[in-house]
Amino acid sequence: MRLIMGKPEKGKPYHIYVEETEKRIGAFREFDPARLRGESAGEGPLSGLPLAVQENIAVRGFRQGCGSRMLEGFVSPVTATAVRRLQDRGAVVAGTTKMEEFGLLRLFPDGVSGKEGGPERENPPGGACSPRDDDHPVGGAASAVAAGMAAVALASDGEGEVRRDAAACGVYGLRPSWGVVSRRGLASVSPSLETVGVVAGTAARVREVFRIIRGRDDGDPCSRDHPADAGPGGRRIGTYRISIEPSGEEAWRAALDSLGRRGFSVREAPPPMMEHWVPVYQALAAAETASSLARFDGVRFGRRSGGAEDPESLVRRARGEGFGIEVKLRILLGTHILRPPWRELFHDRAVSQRAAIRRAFDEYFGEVDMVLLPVSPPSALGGRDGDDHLPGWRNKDRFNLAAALAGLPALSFPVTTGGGRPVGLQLMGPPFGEERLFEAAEALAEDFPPASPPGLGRDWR
Amino acid sequence: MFRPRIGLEIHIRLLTSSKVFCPCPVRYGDEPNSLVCPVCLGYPGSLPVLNGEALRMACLLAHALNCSIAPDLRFDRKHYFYPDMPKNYQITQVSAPLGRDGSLELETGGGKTVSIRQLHLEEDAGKMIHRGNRTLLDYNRAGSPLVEIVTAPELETGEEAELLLRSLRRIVRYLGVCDGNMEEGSMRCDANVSMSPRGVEHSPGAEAPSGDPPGRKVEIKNLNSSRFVRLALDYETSRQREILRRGGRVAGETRLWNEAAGVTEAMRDKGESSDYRNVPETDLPPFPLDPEYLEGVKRQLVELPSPRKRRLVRDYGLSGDAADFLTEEKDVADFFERAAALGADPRTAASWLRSEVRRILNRENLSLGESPLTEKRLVELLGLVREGGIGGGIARKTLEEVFRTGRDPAEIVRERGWEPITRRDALLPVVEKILAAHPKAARELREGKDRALDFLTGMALKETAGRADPGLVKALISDVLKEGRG
Repeated sequence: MRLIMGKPEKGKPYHIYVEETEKRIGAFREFDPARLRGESAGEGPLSGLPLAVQENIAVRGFRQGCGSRMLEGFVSPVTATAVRRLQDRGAVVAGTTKMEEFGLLRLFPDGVSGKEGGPERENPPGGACSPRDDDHPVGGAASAVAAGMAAVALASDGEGEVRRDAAACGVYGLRPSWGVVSRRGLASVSPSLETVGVVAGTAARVREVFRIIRGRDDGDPCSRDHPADAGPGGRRIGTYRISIEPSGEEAWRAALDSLGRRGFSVREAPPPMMEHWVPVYQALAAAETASSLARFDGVRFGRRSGGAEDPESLVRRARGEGFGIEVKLRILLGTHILRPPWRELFHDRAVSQRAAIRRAFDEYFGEVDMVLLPVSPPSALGGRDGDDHLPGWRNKDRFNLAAALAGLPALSFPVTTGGGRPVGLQLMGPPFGEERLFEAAEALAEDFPPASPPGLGRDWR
Repeated sequence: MFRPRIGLEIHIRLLTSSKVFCPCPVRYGDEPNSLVCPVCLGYPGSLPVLNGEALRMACLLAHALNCSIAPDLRFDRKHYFYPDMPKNYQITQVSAPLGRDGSLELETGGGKTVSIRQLHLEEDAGKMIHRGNRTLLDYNRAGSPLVEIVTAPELETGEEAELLLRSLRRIVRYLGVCDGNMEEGSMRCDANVSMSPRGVEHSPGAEAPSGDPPGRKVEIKNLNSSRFVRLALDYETSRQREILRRGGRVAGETRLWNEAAGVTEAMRDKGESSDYRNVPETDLPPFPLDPEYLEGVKRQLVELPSPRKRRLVRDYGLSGDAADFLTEEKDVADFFERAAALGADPRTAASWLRSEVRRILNRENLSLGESPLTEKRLVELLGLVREGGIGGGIARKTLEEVFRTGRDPAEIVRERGWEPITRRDALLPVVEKILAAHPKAARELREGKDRALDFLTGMALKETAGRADPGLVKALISDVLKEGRG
């Protein structure tokens, strides 16, 4: 049994290590060694393993702030099913990690949006990629794993957060097939697009955790069991010739070579309807966000504004003061495209195009078993290269959106070449195709062994 | 010249034990905000899980109203900001209601049948309570299951609307899906009223003809009893008719029924948008309603009030009024039929249930099911009257005793010594005593005034506390007078 409080013969106890490291990284929203000391790890395959949980996933007794002022001080009365399943196998919640407000990547420059919500910019020691260099923060979940402060993290993936942050920090991040992991306890902003994902230092750990958290949960009517026959299978990989950042070009080619050497057949096969991914995602996500965030009104929980004259002004104030600019923009957009005359033009078309995208992927995965794509990094969204309009930024983000639209599993993994920074690539498969993604990622890891996190992290391998 | 077109939207509060999307109990009158959980308060991360009992009840009602049932159960989010609505959207069914194209037969009123446009399942909101300058919120009701029923605008008078509500009330009570209490909000009703020129017919479901119709649709709210529905609609139809008669136009608006003044009044415009920005409720996947399930629900259907009433008239020779009374409550009709099966004369049993039994139940505030009167006891009592010769007065006293003691009628009659006195030798002294005590009446009877016979018989019955056989008493009186003894 691994003990979360560390092994004195190996040096610092775990909580001392985290306290020191956390001062430089700032990954956690809430990390409470005193509380941890009282936790006794249960038995099970994950016994004593420290688990970080993104702050929009409920852990009883921890604040569920969702990176938003709106939920300042809100303590969750429940524990998410995915967290509970890991706790039942012995994992211990080390703390909750920071995130962008409701996980919504800021599409506007920081000057507009302010910086609340994101973690500090210190380079996580485990990741060679430095979020500090970018003007965009990385979610705390991946930082905590990369810095060896947590063995595993659970975080949400709507528009690619898990994969993007894992890629930025040089760790593995899985977005499961939609519905395979219970969303109970996840404060979803776009229920049909969002999943609970897993971040860990190796593909094997991601798989272990995924196998524990997946499956039907009576608390989430959309959850379903992973089909028993969805084992690994198929070694045909489609790719799409794209120009990515120069630093990524080398990693991309190395990954293709490696896959070829290890018995995968790789061929050019562009995934379907790419030109539609961004507008369809943008419309549906905005509509769902406007709907799902309606419940945050300061009446029953979260931020309560003073000085309201009547219920309406109470709600107006709470939402005006509580939400950041990105959230407000999406709510405005979503509200408008659900109203005539825009509804038919944008929302309803997006709904039918999404169905077409799903059908097209069904067909696509008849021809190949997986598709290899870059992970759109946060740096792609800087708005620094003259693309100062919103679709331009979003367009660079498109590789992360297809999985959400079609409910597909996608695994991002680090590829390190020649001592440079790891570059994140992702494999995406058909629904329930997680096992084949793990198989390919493990094969790649033979050639590109993931960096060992510092601290006590290597004990958790 | 103008014909009113009235449609109703009725909300039925289902009698499930828990809420429609969470396990909180459905109860009224508890400490405010004591029956709530993260789901019905809309906490972040909470997900709705459909209550199977609510679905069963909604399907049962859809069957009873002859609706065609959707192949999948689908929910939508209907958005509007209001503090009593925890998520600021209501989970309801907009795009694919559970039931469509049903019908409801009005029980009286010439057998008119009204089309049901749709029937769907949804969640209730909480309650806002204003106390001085404070607003309090109670979410105990939030998430309670409702079925909304929308009728086509085929009603023409307040009376028909009231009848429809009464018929629907009987049906939901028969099915056990709602207590039908409008005063307590278990059934809530809004109405739409418009006028169409006579002779111009619309296909069902069509709005008033285009091109600026003279009568815009007026919505009327706050109709919390079926009587108010009738009064408000009669008021509103005559108001609209009067406007049109004078060549004016009826404004499309929402009006409230003012109970005290007996009028409908335009509601202060809250600037409320009627655009609810509906989206599919993706937290609840479409749920296929397979035919096997629906057949199972259908088997739970009971005979509904209208057909049952017709059958009672036909099979038992009851009057329409008697059958109407018996079918008002399923309990009573069931009781009646069981009693008839045990050999009670149907008309006599119906008449006892309608008069004496109902009087005692009302006085004791009991339902038939809760009372000690079983159908077996009623049959026994009626048998004592018919065959054992006990009089009406004794029978009524016996019934009271059944209610008081919960014992069988025959036992009560025996123990109290209430058996009829049928022996001449036992009654003769009584008759002689009465004639002696009322010489004036005896004289009148001898002079041929028959009314005196009734009086004297009554006195004899009184003397024997109702036990004397009235026929025998009369015969004895005549005999005694003839013999010249009186």
